[in-house]
Amino acid sequence: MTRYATMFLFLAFLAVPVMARAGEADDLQRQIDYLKQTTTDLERQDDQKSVASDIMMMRAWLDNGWTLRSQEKYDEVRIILDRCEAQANMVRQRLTAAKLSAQAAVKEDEVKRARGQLSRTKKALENAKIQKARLEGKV
Amino acid sequence: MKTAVIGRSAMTTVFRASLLCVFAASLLSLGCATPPKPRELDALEKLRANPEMPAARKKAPDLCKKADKAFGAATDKWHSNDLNESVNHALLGQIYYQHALSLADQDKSNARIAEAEDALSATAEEHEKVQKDLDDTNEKIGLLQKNVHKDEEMKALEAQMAADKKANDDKLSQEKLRAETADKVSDAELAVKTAETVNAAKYAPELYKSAAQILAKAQNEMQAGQMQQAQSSAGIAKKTADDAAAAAKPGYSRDSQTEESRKKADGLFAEASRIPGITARRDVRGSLQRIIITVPADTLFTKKQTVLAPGRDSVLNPIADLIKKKDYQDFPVQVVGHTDSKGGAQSALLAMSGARAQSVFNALVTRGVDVRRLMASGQGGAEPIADGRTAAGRASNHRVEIVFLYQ
Repeated sequence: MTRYATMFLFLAFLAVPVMARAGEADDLQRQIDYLKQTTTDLERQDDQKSVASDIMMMRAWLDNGWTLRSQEKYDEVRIILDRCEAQANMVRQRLTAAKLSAQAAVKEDEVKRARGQLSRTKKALENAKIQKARLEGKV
Repeated sequence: MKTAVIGRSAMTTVFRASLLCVFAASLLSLGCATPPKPRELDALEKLRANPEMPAARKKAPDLCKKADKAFGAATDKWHSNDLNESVNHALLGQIYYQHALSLADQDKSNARIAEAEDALSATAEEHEKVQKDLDDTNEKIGLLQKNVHKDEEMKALEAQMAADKKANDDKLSQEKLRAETADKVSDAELAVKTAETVNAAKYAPELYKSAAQILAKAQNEMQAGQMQQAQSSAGIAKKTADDAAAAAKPGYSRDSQTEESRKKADGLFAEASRIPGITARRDVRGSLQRIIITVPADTLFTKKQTVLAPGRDSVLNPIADLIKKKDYQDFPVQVVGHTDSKGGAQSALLAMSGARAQSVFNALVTRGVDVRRLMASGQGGAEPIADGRTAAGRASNHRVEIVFLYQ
């Protein structure tokens, strides 16, 4: 009995690293898949194509990570995934910044139009005052 | 000699050893030399020098700290010739810096948005004020235009009224002119008719014809609306007609008086013929017509008397009435006494006939005859009406004649 238990423990001891590595590979794959999905989402959000090169680079990194994962270079894969995570965050912020910049441009355009309208109204007022003065002179 | 050889050999050995050392040192130095800087690190350095970086550091100090750390690690790894690690750190640093820059950019954009919103708000406020001013001004303009329109309408109305008045005045003037013309033409027509009353066609034919023609011309001109010409023509026609009337009047008057006198004389003769005890006859002497009422002397006088016998003068009453009658008042009347040619001197006969005429004259005056119409005379026996050789003839020649004269 003791001998079987010892054998079991020995086999288990041998199996743990194998199982652990298999779990790590799966975990990395999930992360890669998640980040790929994130990339796709970011691409969809990037309607102005302002971060297209960053997303493309991220996708290339992920492909590289996938390759390295296949080669079981998990440490390098983790480095890449960390970088991709940071890249995704950065891209989100850049997208936000681009949208805010667009909003600002729209607002500034509105200001420009409003100022133009104001200028036209002022001109109209000026003309109206002239016309009024003329009519007062006539009456 | 041997020592020299040994020395030379030792030197060669040292030399070779030196060369080997130099070669080894070279190889070592080559192996320990810093490799080329990875471009990722270069890019990271450029990113660090971004002018927006201070703002990024202020906004995201943690990120920048991480980036700085990555930059340091990348540099170290580069210096330690671990290029892969250097690149990894450099890329991570770039990401952090870009992240921080994005956050700063967001702040900047937010600030732009806020500024734009403020500007929009201020512009909208100002626009509202200006628009209000404009609306007020436009409203005033509307009122003023209304007033101007009213003023213009009033002016137009006044102009219309003035035009109407002028038209009416013109019409009145035309009517007046027409009326004046009609009056003048009527005057001319009246003048022509007046000329016709004096029979100007007979007594002044040329003038009358001319007047009639000019009058017709005036009438035509009036119908054609040529009032001035019509007035002028009517004036000429009137003057010509007046001239024609004036020219015709003497002849017409003469003829008409003669005619009238003849008619009156006819009446007088008829009435005289109806008086009993007398005879009436008509006679012409020169240009004068005469109606002679013969009263026999024995009707008025006794024998050779010159005074009217009492009771016999009643025969004079109807004669006096006849003389006084209005129709015959313009007839001069002669009372002429006649005798026969015998029975005395001519002068005596003249005296007797004159006295008898005077007696009748007085009797007529006594009966109301205007003395200015009467003229008494005696002719003696100069104008017998019967044969003086017979007594009846002589008796007839003794008479008093009441002679009415006319032309």
